[in-house]
Amino acid sequence: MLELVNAQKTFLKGTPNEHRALNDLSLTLEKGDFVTVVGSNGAGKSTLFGAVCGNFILDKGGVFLDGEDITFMSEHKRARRIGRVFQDPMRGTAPNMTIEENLALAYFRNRKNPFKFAITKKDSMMFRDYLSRFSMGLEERMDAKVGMLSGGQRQVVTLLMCTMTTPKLLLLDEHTAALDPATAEKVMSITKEIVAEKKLTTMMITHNLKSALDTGNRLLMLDSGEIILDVRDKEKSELTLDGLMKLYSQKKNKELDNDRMLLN
Amino acid sequence: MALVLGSLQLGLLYGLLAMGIYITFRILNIPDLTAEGSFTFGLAVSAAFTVAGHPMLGILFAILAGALAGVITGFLQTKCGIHPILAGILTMSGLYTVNLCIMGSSSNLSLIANDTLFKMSYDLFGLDKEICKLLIAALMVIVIAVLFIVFFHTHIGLCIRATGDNEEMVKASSIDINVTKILALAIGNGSIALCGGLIAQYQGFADINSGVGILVVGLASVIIGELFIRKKTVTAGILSAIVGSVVYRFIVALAMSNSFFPAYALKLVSSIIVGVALALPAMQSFLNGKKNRKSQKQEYLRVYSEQKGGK
Repeated sequence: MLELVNAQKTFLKGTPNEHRALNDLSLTLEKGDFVTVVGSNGAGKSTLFGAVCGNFILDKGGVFLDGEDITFMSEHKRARRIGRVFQDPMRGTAPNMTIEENLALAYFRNRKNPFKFAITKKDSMMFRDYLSRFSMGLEERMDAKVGMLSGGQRQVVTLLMCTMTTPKLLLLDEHTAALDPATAEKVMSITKEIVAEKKLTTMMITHNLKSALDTGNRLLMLDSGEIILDVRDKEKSELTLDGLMKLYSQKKNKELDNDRMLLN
Repeated sequence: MALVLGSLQLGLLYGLLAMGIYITFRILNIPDLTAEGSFTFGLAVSAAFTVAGHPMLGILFAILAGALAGVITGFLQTKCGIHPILAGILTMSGLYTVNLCIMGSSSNLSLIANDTLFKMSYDLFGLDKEICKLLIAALMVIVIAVLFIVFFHTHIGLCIRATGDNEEMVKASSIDINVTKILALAIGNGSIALCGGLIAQYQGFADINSGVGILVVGLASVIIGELFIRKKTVTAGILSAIVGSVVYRFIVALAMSNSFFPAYALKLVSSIIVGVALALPAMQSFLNGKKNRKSQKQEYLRVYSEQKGGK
């Protein structure tokens, strides 16, 4: 489904702060894979997502999605194929527009004629139905400005916006990290529900190792812009937290250095 | 009566300007200085066509001229990566030359001897001159307002509103923000130039300096309008721009007729209105903060003195 071939990216090239964020990284995702991505700070997780989404063009290597070469495709064109939810709940929605308008904006991916009315009665009903499935009470507040919602609610709206029209790939960039534990769990369960229902190919960055082990069918560990661990299916389901940390120390010859990852 | 009628005519005509400013300033969230150039651009084009005997074509080309100015500013902002305010200033400054050129390198163009849209309408409707002027102004502003309201409820309109609200999100939802920005600037400046074009034919002359300070006039109208219509939807916003423009003209007329100010004080007064209105939120939070700090201080001093007294 998604294929990265020898992806390389160096930031601030030629300065003392030069940082090689992706180091000859190759990765192939099967259709329907739900991959969790872990790694310490600066390991290149977000850079990996950026490379797929087109925040920057790779220095070397290529990106293919569903057989299509998207290496040099612009960000907004890739967005038609890829849904992305960020950690910051403020990033994914337009705060001064209503829930309905935000959903309509996302639904635009499906439309051909930009001069048609954005929200017809039919659309409105459909958005309502869709929202009501997640029992967050959002369907009663279709005319509320998104800026009035809580972080968790905004994250759910973003998630729905990204998946309403089935994307080829869903990228979740620590999308529950800024939420309180109860809300995070709720958003996580909604995520799993949507991914399972639509059989989405998904990559999720997380700092929560437990959640990384519990979720999905494949786990990647990144370090210094390289994939140092790639386990899937049976092997992954048998992996424990201790096992994962041992594997990490073996590979890197050092202890896992991220408190945030361990404390969760 | 003449005062009321005149203010209403001007208020409605300048409502087109206010709507244009509303689109760039409130919807797109950019203080767009192109307005000063595009207003005069519309004025000059309309005047030149009127002199040549085609007032209707003049209005049409005024709109196109304004849209072109908007596209240029948009191009500078997006593709060339120039700061939005500087991009507007560059276009505005460049247009000064273009406008002089259109007006035959004279800073004034009189249309007294020529047929204007307004003069033609007197013959057509056979109504009172002032009523005719009012009707045309009202008709224009209503038609454009309805067009805008419909437009901002279409998909592309929604995309433009989202661009001003959260650019990051728009990029992530398959919309090209360069296109939405350029389009919004074209539409806004088209409206502003239409205003200029109508004003030229309304007052019967074109002056190269008509556009100076016009941005502040537009901003003042938008802000005054928001005092009257508090709702924050696009429809309310566009209507409030028109209402604000009419109220602004009444304030101006009142101030002039009672000779509160000399005529040349107008720009300063407009600037103060805009400055104060935009500073209000900051002043409010400052005053609230001061109040809170005062009560907080009383509280901790009380607790402190109690503890001391206890010892």
